[in-house]
Amino acid sequence: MESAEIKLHLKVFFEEEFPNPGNTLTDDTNLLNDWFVDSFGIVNTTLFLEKKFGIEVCRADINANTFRSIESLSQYVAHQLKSINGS
Amino acid sequence: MTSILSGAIINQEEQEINNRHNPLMVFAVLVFLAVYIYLFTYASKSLDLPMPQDLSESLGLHVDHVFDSDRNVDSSLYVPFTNIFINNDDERLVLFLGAAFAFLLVYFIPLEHKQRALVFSSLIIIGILYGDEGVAGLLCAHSLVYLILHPVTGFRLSIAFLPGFFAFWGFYSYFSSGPVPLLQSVLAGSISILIYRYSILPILAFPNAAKILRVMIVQSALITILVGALLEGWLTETWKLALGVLLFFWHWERLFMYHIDYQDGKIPKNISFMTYLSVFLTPGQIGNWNWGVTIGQGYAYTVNNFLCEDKNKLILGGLKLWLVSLSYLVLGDWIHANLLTFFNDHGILVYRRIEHMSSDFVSGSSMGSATVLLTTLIALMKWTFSWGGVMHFKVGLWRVCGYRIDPYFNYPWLSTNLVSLWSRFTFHYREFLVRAFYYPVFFKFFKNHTHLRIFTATMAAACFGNLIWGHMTEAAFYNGVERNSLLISLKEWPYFVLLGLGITASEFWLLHKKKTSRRPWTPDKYIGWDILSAYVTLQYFAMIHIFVYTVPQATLWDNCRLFLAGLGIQF
Repeated sequence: MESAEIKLHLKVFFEEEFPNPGNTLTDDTNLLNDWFVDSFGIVNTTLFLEKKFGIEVCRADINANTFRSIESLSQYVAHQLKSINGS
Repeated sequence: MTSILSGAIINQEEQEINNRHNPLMVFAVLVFLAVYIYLFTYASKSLDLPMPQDLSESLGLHVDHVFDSDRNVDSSLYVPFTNIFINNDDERLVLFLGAAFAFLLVYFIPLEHKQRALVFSSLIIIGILYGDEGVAGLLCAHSLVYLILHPVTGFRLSIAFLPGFFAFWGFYSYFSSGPVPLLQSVLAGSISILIYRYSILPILAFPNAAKILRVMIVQSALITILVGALLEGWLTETWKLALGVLLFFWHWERLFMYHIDYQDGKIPKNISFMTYLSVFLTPGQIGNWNWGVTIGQGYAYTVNNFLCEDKNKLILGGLKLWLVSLSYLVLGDWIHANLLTFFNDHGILVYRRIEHMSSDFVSGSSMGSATVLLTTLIALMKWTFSWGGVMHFKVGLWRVCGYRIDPYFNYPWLSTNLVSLWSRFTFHYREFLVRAFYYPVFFKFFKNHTHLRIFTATMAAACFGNLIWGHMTEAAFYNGVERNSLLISLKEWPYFVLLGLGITASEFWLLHKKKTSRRPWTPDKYIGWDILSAYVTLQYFAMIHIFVYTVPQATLWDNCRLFLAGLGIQF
């Protein structure tokens, strides 16, 4: 899956799941500061990533560097997909 | 919300940029601390200034439930476990003066020495308040943890001197005069080097044995109270925890989170003992040592949030919290008492404490729904004022010292569901439960069954972990390492089950609710629903405390009947 496609899926998910009227969601929007409502957002996002992309999210991946933005999340997903396809 | 995931890694260049001085901020912090000193200590008497109550009355303000018999403000802010001073007003004075000292030191000292300065200033304040026994016990326990989590060799082996040396002073401080005890403590330190070098280091060389040893040291508080309670039940002799050990055990939830960071590889392998100590020893934790013990969390949260923003902005955030803290500490009891008077004058019986209601109910008095609802809700409010006042002071002090620490209470009354309340109420403790129990279960079990996955993870955290690792151990720290302390705390299980079930239900609702573009508390025609949701959330949380704040003679069925009476169902 291409990076642009991953980003699009993520963007649609965040806009539908955590609507934030008045704010524009870009690839670099700080999700932790400006988008999530609460910590269940992290759980919900994890469920989405596993279901949509078929990747396995580990506890250690739940960190600020991964969940900072759509850009960082898409890089994480791409890396996980590459590992799956490569193995 | 960055801190929900411990923040991103901060580098030294960014910290230098955030380290600009602003004399106005320094002045503001000192003024705030002077207000705390004036209101909550005897300083005004010593300085021949009017006492707070005299000042209030001279301004025509005659208020009850604010001042205590010595005419300053009665406060939940205190320093526990000390017998060094005559009363807690003097201990508070040490705390506030110590906070001022620590702040000035950390504000002006160069960046590379800041966290070290906080460790030293904390040890000085702890030393004055708890004596050498407290400091030595704490350092003994922490040096032992450090040596097991971060094995040392070569010249750094000298650190292994510390557990033995400090153990001597921590456990036998009443012998602490003359050259003989000094020699004995040096001997104890030398022996501890030998023990570490020839028995612990070889064990740490085996990965599985090292893992067991690490878990044992991290779980030392739980192991101690379980073994102690068993022995007490068997031999009827209660273990008395040394002061320093007790102080260390109140760190154990943070140690738990430190260990999680350790397992996740977030801690540098060559971390120094001083950096390790800087995670645990900061002035912000000293007041009400046994309250809000999870503030600061583990390594990543503490280190990544140090000077990660302009320090003056952080101080401003701290001062705002201190303002809220002052209003809670000064006015909390007054608001509580006036609410009780208001409802009782209007013919609605409202009890001052849930235990009083429970006692009357068990004695045969019937309880109306309004009485149960209002007593529990107002008790929660009182508790929030008291706890929130102290927590805002503590978090404020962390911020004043340069840490971007999330508030422990973040407008909990705005919670429109229990998931939100779980984040807004005792935030750092929630983080402990999520990281120690929720995530391990969520990422390991029932991966193909979403609802079961969420249910088990939530119950593991809010129910099981909360009861066993949170409340049961604390009960032993407070009431003694006795079997009875543990049994009494375990009897509170319905509260934890109801909390877990309530949070699970909220999670399911959040997972499936119809998505809209509206955020809670948007001022539109739906705001009434937000108010109702917030009320239901808080009322539910308040009512389940019936199972905690009960009386010994009440049975489980009595508590259930009282809970149901609140819902208008009488048995």
